[in-house]
Amino acid sequence: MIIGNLAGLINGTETVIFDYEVTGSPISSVSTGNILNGNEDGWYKIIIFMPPHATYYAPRFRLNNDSGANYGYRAIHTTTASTTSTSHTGLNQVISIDGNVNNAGFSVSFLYAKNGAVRLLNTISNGRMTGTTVSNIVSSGSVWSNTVDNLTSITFIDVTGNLAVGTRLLILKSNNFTNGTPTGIITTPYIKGSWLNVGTHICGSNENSFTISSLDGNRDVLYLIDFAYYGGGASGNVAITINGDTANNYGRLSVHAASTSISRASGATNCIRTGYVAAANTYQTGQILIFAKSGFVRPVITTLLDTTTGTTIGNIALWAQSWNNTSSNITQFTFTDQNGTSKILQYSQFTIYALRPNG
Amino acid sequence: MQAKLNPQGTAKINFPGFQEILDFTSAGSESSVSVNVSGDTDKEYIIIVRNLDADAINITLNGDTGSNYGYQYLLNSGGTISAARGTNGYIFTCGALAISTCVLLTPTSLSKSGYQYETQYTSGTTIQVNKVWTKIWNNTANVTSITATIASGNFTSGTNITIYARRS
Repeated sequence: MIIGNLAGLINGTETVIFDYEVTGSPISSVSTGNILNGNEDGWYKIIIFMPPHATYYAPRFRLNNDSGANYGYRAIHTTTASTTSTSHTGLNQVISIDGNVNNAGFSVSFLYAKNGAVRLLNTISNGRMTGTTVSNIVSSGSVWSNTVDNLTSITFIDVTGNLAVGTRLLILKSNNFTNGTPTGIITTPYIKGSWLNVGTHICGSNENSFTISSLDGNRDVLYLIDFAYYGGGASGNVAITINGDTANNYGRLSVHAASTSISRASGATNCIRTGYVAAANTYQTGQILIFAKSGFVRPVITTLLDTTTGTTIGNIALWAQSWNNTSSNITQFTFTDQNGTSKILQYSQFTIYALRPNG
Repeated sequence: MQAKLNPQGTAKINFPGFQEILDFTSAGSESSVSVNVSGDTDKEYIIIVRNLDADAINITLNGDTGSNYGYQYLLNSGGTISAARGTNGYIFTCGALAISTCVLLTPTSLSKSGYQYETQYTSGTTIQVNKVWTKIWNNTANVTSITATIASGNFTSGTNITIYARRS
């Protein structure tokens, strides 16, 4: 029996606990205050959107506002020209975005927060976007070498001076699930600040195209698109377009590996890509994260495998993309077989989640 | 209308999103942990591993430890960038003193696949490895169990494995 929508912390699922947007004037730092309890919470997801700015382009964060030389970093750093190693020890902050002037940036970090051991982070970032030019994608690992203190706060800064107006800072956590005997069941279509399934499409037969609509990107702020499909053809993979935009309004930079060979590709394209190489009757799987709020170019980060048969994976690909549209509210995603011959085969599945930090 | 949950009660919440199905922290006396699932129903899992041991923790599906899992990775190990493809006996892994964050998709009647990000620590403020894997389990059967096993001995006390399933 549906009894309404739920808000607040719900045990056992990921929920937004901190949401801050810089408005009015640039600000030198933003602190969560002591709202965290790393030892109980276990882990956090930290999401940063950085708008383009002529001066400020390097957001970072500190745990418990520790500004000592207690952080380390190692990255797979890809630009249009190369894929190289970047590493640092003795930093005084966690690197989130390797940005540049007048470029937007976007990062997602996963932080394991319990004390008793060093705190580790995985981060993926799309650091430099302007229009349809995307200039870096970085996968990185970071460490905070403090093993003793409970994590109680995160402080966001920008090492070029200030956090620019339009910067968005989000932290998600999962409350511990209580393993007691349930005394009842509550069914709700929606939990404020948790990932909500806003559309699932499972192909009942071979298909050419479908659309998931009735979305509200400005309300949802973030979309997570999961795909696992079988099919494809020599002419391409499944193309995802936003609001029916099929023009070359999507920027891209990707790094791929096939066996031991590493390569890159960049330039404007006409969709969000779900594969790098196309081939018939192969598997493509991945996850796409989109910062959807209008006002700036929309950043996209994708991790995927493609052209896979049996146990042989054709490519791993990390994609940084942009949708060069700053004004439109996102209302739909269309998934189209680029071969135009219904090569999205039966049982393929696609799901869209929305975050809705403010309900 | 806002529904209020009695904070003293324990109610099962049904909603179309991710729900925690395992939160395991080792006491140091276990060598594996498993959870029963239905991949055809859930369609997707998120698996998080924080390994405090010097041996790797491997994740397998339906107890399959054969070389039925394909991989392709991109790696920075100590400053050297490389990539490789092959097969092994697990869908995901978490190396020594590492964290792994994993996404597994389990469509009905198709092979099961996903990816993981892994960061491996050495000492001080040194990160040794940053690695991105894509993985596939060459099996179209329903996933009925997810098992985490340490390569040797028992988990180090404090090692944590958390799994979320997409429930509706």
